[in-house]
Amino acid sequence: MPSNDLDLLRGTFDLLLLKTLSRGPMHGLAVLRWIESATRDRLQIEEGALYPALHRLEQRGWLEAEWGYTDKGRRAKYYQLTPAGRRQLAAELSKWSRYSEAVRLVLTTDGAR
Amino acid sequence: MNDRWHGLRRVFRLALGRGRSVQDEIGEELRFHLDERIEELMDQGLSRSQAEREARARFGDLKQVGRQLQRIDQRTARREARGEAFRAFARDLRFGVRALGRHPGFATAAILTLGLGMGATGSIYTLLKRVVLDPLPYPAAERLVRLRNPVPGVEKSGEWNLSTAQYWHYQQLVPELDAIGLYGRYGLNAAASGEPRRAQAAQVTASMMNLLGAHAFQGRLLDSNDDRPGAPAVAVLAYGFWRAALGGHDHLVGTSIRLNDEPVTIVGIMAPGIELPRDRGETLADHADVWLAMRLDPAGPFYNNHVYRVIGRLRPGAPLDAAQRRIDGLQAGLPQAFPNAYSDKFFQRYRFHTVLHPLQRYVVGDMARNLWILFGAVGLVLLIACANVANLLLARLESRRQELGVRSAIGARRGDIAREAFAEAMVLALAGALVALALSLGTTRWLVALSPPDIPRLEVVGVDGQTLLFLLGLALAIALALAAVPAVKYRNLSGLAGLGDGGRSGTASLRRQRLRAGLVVAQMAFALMLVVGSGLLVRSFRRLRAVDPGIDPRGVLTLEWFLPYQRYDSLSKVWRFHAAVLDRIRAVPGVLAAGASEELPLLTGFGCTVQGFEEPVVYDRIKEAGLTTCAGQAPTTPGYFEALGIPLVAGRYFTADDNTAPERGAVIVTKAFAQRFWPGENPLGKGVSPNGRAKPPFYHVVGVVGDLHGSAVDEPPAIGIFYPIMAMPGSGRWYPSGMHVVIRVARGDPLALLATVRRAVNEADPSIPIANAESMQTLVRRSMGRLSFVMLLLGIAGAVALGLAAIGLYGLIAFVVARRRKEIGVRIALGAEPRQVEGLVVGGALRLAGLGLAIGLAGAVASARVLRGLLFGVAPWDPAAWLGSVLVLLAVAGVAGWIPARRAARVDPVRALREE
Repeated sequence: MPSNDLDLLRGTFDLLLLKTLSRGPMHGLAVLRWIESATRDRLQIEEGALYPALHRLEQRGWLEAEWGYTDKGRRAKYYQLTPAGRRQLAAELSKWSRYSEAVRLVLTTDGAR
Repeated sequence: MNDRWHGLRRVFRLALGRGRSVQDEIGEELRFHLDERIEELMDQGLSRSQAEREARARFGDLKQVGRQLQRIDQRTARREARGEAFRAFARDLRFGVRALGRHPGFATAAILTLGLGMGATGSIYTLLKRVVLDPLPYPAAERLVRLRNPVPGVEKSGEWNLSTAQYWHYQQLVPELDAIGLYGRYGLNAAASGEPRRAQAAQVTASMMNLLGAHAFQGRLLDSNDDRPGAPAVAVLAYGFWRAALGGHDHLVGTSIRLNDEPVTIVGIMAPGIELPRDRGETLADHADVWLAMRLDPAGPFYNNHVYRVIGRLRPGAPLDAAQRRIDGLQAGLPQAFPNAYSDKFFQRYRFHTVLHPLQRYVVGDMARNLWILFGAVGLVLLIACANVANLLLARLESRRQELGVRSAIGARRGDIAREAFAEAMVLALAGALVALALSLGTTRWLVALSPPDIPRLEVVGVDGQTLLFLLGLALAIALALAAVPAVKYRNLSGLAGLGDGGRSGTASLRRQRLRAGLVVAQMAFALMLVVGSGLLVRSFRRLRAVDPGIDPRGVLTLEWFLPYQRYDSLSKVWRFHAAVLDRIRAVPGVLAAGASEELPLLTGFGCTVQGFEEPVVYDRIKEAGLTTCAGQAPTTPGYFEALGIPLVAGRYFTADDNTAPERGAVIVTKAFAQRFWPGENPLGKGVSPNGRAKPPFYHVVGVVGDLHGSAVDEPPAIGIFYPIMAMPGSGRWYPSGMHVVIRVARGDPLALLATVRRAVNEADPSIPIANAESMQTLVRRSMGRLSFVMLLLGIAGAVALGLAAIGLYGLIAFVVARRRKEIGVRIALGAEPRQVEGLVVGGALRLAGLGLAIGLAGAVASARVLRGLLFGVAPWDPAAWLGSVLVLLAVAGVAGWIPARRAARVDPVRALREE
């Protein structure tokens, strides 16, 4: 279901996932919850898109997955960054800041003519 | 490492296609997500069923996500499995390298042996692929055919080309051919702006452009408008000629070039790489430099002149036999359609008919058989080399019996040991392949340089990706075979009695080394095949060289010049040129003789022009014998026979008077000519006339020269008749085209005379270029090139095979001797003479060799039969070759056994018995 707040591009989605997981291993639901809480519910992630995204990142070698147990004792699949994933995160972060800076420049330049 | 192991297990499960586990995991992951969400929602107050509905709704299409995840995970699994397989393979290779590194001597010997065998095979394969297997570079090459006319009534094996009458006839009446083209090749003098050069012209019908798949690099190609009689003369230049001779300048299209003093407009430049197919029997490489239009007139006139080369293309779906049958049926119509050119009597006398050859087979010809023979030979060498390496491996394993016994006792699986063996063998084979690649690069170039010039398509031979693939495939096969050897021998690991007696059995004997002995026997058998083949070829070659070529080629320079008809339109002009230039050349100090003729022995082939005879009895005689009255006819200057060292059998040579007073009508014939037409009679004074006229005036024979050979010394002697340059008034005319000039020098390199000859020609006419200058000895050597090429390579293969087999035998005997030191010590202690011990060992070696010879006999007979086509003056069962081969093999085996035998004889019995 598309969110009525902000739609999300795939590339940015991957960036958010990588950044979230940089804080430590989490299972998919935890990633979701963390993003929602960090953006104060402004960003709604499509739940169906989460797992394919996580699995693709695993396929590309940026995440690795391992089965573990939650504190409630249930089995869950935990994801964490690989060293290659860390490098990719750094690269994406710098790309993102350059992009957002460029957009900001365009938007804040006095353009009323 | 726990998670690694876990991940690995999952990967292997996935890779084996047991997708259920993937599905299980995906299901569990998604289940977890939903369950947590449901709990959340229930905590917020919904009922279970409401919570479930809400959670599912929020998630989206569960099934679709599941399928997506499955696809992604399977791809991941496959990728990881591949990576893991590579890593495992790399691990095995590293292990193999380490294991071999502990025995560098063994490894080096094995790698070099394999590299030698594989390299030789790779080189010959490269040659074979390029010359024989690759399709010709023309579109629809498999449908192209070459038309030829066998004339068994004239010559048993030769075939003639076609007449223009046949071309037009078949073009109209053979629907099985969707294209047909005609062409001829000849030399001419080409001059653009600078000095005139000799160039090769190809005169073609416009249809040839399509048949060859030609396209233009600049300008346009010849088309049907250029090909009409009376059309303006145009030319297309070959790319190579344009660059080399004309400097590769742009803007040449549209300008004019002088060909034989006639201006011709250049309309285009051919793209590089377009060539006419090679013709059988051409000994010199021929590239077309200039392409001209044939401009045939479909209205004739038509002559019985079979010099044109014709290629056709079968319609898709039309089989060759259908076209052949059609052409056979059309033959009867030829005399009716072209009465001037053909008569029924012609077909009867000459037994003339037309055949279609698939073009590829025609171009490659005999070379295919020769290259396959060589491929078989290097294949045998490779087998012998592999047997040697297998023996080395077995020897090494023998000394590791104790280790292997221990390992098997503590639970090493046969599979692991097999994998190790395979890894080692793979490392050896791959290293051998690398050595082979390097070797192939070098030897291929050497082979091409060495090969006879009439091997087709050799210009484009080079080691390439396909050779590499071949070598890698070979390496894999060899690795499997080598790994199988110890695996077969040590099938039953637990049966190793190695543990008890410290790994050394005191009763090791040849009988126990059955596998190794078997390999050595096989090596000897293969070596026999190669040595017998080499022996037969060597004897053939010596027979060939002993044949009198009819000339004395030492110190003779030969070259060609061509007088264009435009300026030399009468025989007296031709004679004046030759007289002037040859006199100038003869005046040079050191020149013993000089002359020229249209034919050159061992090169031009001495064609077949009908002669007329004054005595009618000659015709009866010829008809009875089923022959024809044609002979090789050549206008010749004085000095020609003397320069070539052709002996005079009767009468005299030519003099200048024969040309200044041509009414005397003097001719000279070869001995074979005299024997065929006037057997048992004195040929001097007999009457002959050229060009088929049996009417006066007749020439008369003034001299008979010794036998000559037209193209090769293993042909029957040529039927040749030599006329003076100037024709008898009222007799048949001719026009000498390219003249072959021969000059004999007293000492030194004949080629050093070239500049002087050039000057002499320039003084007479600076626009005449000289071509194809070389020493006669080179030519003679080249005419024997084919046999000597195969002989040389087969001889090398035989020598290498013999060497490898000897090494193999030596290795086995030495091993057994070392193993039996105790027993030998006992024998000597009990009174055996050293000579007896030696005899025992050498006897063992000879027995093995003898067994190999006996087994190899059948193979050697087969290989002799295969070589039959190459033998000259030697039968496949030639006793000298066979006896020699067997003796050589036994002698080599004896030496291989004698070296360890001496060591055995010197064993100190005390020391030997004390050893453990």
